[in-house]
Amino acid sequence: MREEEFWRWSERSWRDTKRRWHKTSAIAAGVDVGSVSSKAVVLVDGEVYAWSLLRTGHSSPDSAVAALRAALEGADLPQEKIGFVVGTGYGRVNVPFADRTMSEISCHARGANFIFGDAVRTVLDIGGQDCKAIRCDAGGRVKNFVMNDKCAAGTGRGMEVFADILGVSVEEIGKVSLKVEEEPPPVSATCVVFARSEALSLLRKGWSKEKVAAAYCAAMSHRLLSLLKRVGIEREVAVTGGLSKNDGVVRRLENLLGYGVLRVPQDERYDAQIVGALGAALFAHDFLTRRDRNRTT
Amino acid sequence: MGVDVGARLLKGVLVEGDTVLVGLSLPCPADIGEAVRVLRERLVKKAGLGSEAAIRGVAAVGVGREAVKDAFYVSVVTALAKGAAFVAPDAGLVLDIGAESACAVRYDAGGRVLDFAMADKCAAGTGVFLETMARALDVKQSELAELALRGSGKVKMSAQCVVFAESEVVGLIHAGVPREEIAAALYKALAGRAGSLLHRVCGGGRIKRVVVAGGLGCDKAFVVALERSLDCEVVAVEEPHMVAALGAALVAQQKGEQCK
Repeated sequence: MREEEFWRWSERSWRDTKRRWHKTSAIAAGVDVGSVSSKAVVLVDGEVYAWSLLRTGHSSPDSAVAALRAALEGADLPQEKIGFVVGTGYGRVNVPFADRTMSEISCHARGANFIFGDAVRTVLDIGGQDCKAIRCDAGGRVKNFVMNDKCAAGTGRGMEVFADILGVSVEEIGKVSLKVEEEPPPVSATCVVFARSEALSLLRKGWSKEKVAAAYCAAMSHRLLSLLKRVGIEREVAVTGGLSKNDGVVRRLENLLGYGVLRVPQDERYDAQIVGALGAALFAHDFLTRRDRNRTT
Repeated sequence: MGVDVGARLLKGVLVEGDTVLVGLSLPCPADIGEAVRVLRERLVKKAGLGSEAAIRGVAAVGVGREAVKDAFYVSVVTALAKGAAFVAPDAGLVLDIGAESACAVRYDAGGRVLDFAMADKCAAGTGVFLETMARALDVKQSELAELALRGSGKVKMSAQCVVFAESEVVGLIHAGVPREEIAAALYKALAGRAGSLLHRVCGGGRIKRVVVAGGLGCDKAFVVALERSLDCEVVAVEEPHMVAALGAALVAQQKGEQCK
């Protein structure tokens, strides 16, 4: 057994320590329980106050609780102050404290609109076990989408399998793939299981790790492009989700498209994996303010 | 002689006229050329032919068929139709699930292909599926079959992809679902996918009889699962894994006669 776990990625959290919450009642949260990661975003007055990104455990409800707790860790904001919670993602029905659930499609479009602005018309979210291409309008409302959640090819899970056979951390594999001097032909098999055997035989043939990583990243970018084409590409294109952090895949996708895509900056303020939870939190904020307005009138 | 070079096994059959002389299978090594030589030697010996010169023609089928030199190459579809028509002329449908592909063929009593469908893009409908799942359950594939036969069939798998199914199996184990039920669910899932492949070629209507060629033809759990899933009869044939090699041998014989 190998000791190292190449599929492992870092859990993160962030909080705006300067933001005051005591005088407002507009505190809302979104929780996105995915198959691989669980995310929580807390908004104060519609602005990001805190968020967290954790690996999903065996139980969805526990993961949801843990994500919200991690987001508020060290903060003096008690969970009871949160006026409205929207649950989303694969495990959304299992968010015990959610006031409402919404589809992750709507949430991703909304979150991307918040981060990138009204110019975004296509959102590609590459998650751990699925991949969605979403068309939206200037307000971040969903017009159409296509989704692959049946097949591991083109998802984070497929990249994890490759990280493991190459012995390269899943966080590094994109960078490693860009070290090749010449682009190899993409891995020809679509199915991750078959692509794995193909990669093993390429390694046996003497291909370097970098070259095999490049061949797989290239194959994945082709697959993502075909998903985008199915929904119809309209600029600007934003790419979110764990795999959007992979330079090897995104750069190659940009080459295929012929132009750059928008990516969540990897600074401390945001993370590419929290976009769905952020969208959920924005919806929660809407519900909360609407409810409070109705109460006062 | 017919040779079937599969992803896992090398199979060979000798025919003479209307009679099958012998069949043999060997594990498929990296050096297929050498393995074919061994196979040929053993077949001749087993059939008591005395000399390899008795073999008039060779036809090869399967993923690695090009490694067989001086052979006539046959597609798996043709070989399955010929082989299945020989062992079960009136069944009309044959399914072959290999290690890395699946194939369904509709044929007539003369072994002509009427329609066919291949699935080789996705591992979920192939032998790799059971192989991987057996590993996830930490059992041998033969044990997986025994477990499945004891399951009630009430549990259903939701994942289609092999990679996702692996995680689902681990999840089911953690949730305390008995291994018998998991195994039965896996066979049911595979039979379901095989059923849709058959439906694509069956020419409409209900499937009544089907030959299951390949290794899964000997797998009782798969046969039962397919019969249940399609409400059909799986025609019992001897040595189902030899059907494609037999078909190739019949083609080789035909070619030999044409040359005369």
